[in-house]
Amino acid sequence: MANYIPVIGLEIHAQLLTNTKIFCNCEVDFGGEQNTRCCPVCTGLPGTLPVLNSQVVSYAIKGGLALNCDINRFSKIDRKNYFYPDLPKAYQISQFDLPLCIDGKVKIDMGEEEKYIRVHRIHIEEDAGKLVHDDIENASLADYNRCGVPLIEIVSEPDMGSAEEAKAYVEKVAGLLQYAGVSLCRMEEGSLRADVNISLKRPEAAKLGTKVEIKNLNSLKSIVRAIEYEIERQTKMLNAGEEIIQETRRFNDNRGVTTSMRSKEDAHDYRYFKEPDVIPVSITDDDIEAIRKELPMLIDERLDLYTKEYGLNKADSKILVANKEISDLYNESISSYANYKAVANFIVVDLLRYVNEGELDSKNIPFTAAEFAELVKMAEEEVVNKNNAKAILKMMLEGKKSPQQIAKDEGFLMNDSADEIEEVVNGVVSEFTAEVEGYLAGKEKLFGFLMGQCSKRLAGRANPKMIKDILEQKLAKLK
Amino acid sequence: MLDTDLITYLAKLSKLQIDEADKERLVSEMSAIVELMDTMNDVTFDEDDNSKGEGVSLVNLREDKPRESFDREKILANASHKKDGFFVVPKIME
Repeated sequence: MANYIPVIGLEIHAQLLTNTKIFCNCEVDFGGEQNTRCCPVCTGLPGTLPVLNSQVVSYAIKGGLALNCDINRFSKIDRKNYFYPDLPKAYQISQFDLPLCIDGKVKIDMGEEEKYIRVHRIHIEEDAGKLVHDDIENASLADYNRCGVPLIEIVSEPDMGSAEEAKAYVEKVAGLLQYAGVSLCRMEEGSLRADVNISLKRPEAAKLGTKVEIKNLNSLKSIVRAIEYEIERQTKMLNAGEEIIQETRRFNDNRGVTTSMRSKEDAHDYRYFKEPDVIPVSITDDDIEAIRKELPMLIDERLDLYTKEYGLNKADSKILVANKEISDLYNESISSYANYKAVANFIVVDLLRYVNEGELDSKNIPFTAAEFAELVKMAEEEVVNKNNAKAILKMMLEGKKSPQQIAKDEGFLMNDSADEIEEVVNGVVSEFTAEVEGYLAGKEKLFGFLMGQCSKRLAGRANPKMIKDILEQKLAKLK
Repeated sequence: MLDTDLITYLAKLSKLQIDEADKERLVSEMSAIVELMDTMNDVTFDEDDNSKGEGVSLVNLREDKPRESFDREKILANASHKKDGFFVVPKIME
């Protein structure tokens, strides 16, 4: 069995977060009744003219900057001809030789190792409609709501060597586009899809093997499964002395296999040419700088800040930056309570549990960062105990506001009156005489029991260290 | 150069049925068309560099403001086949 190195490149299609379609004023929204977000432009009626949406260009540039791309100062729009009923014009308006963004790079983190995946180009284009293959004889049903929905296509160089690297790259690109605020990148809603190019080569070979393209993967899981399947399939073929055919394949999610769609022999000749209906775009340095200024601090910079400046461990830092809203909450919280580790810990251990269980949408956190910081501070300074701090968080999520007020209302505030603690300790000692005697006779374990009884009676409102001290003093006197 | 093989291939891509007998005739007819088109190569343009030029500036592009879409019945009015608010199109499965 010979060894082969997989060579993988990705084309990611991400929907831009605009209000309207790329060439007309129809609203862009997920779902909706079929053919209710259409007009003569996006359904390709004769005599209509497309007018480019400025936000599409701005967002594409912004996404490109987030992916470290250079921006072309002059960018041309082209016509890509193909004939399929999901596209009423019989061509797609896209970009060919002068895309908006070129030559980017994205850092992926593979455990200990860091690797850069180069971005070849990013161009803008319109999405096609949706076909429903109903059970009608020889007919399909077309819904053109998605026609003209703005997309960016991000084409990577073939720099990935495994399914894991491809997954890390998609996650990173999606994360960066979300941070930039230009795409929701929700694979389940179709706002992020990927095509995979994959070939195998012998380690010593200089030339790449014949590549196969797998179209339209719409989940991270299917990207990984399709790549793994394809590596296995091509390895078997090469080992059996067979030749790989350059072709497009589709991944069947149910069966976990790829099947051939069309071979290169019948490949489409898209007959790209300059789109006569849309004027090219000129971008100035000022445009680019204005857009760059709108970008927030991005993932890698935040990771550096958290690990190097704030001393957080890498695992927690990665969890915090995985979600921009959470990372923003962290940044704001530490500006009012600069206990970096305590705030991080409270988010990672307590708050994210609600997000992960789907009980909290990180985009709609019902309290301010300052309120959250105050809660962490109260727990750290033992104004309330840890369990009650968790209870307060739950109530804040239910809409109650100030943690101070909640603690007061619920009687969670720690009692630092030694008198009351002493009273409780006295009560416990006189009630559990057998245990006290046992302890005095040397059964030290019973201290924990007595301690527990005191805590129970104080209902978590007393500082455990104070209880311990007072109980110890009391028992020492009895010795 | 055009030959009957290319005609057969183009016919297949265009989903056209062409009789063997017509192919020879099409070779000569289409060769004449291609030849005519080739005269375009003799025309020289002052500006044939597509990579440069003056485009529209960002501020002059369309503002991202939604307007109401067309009524679905209106959009479907010209379709020869429709069903449940969909356009009915030929089934093409790849």
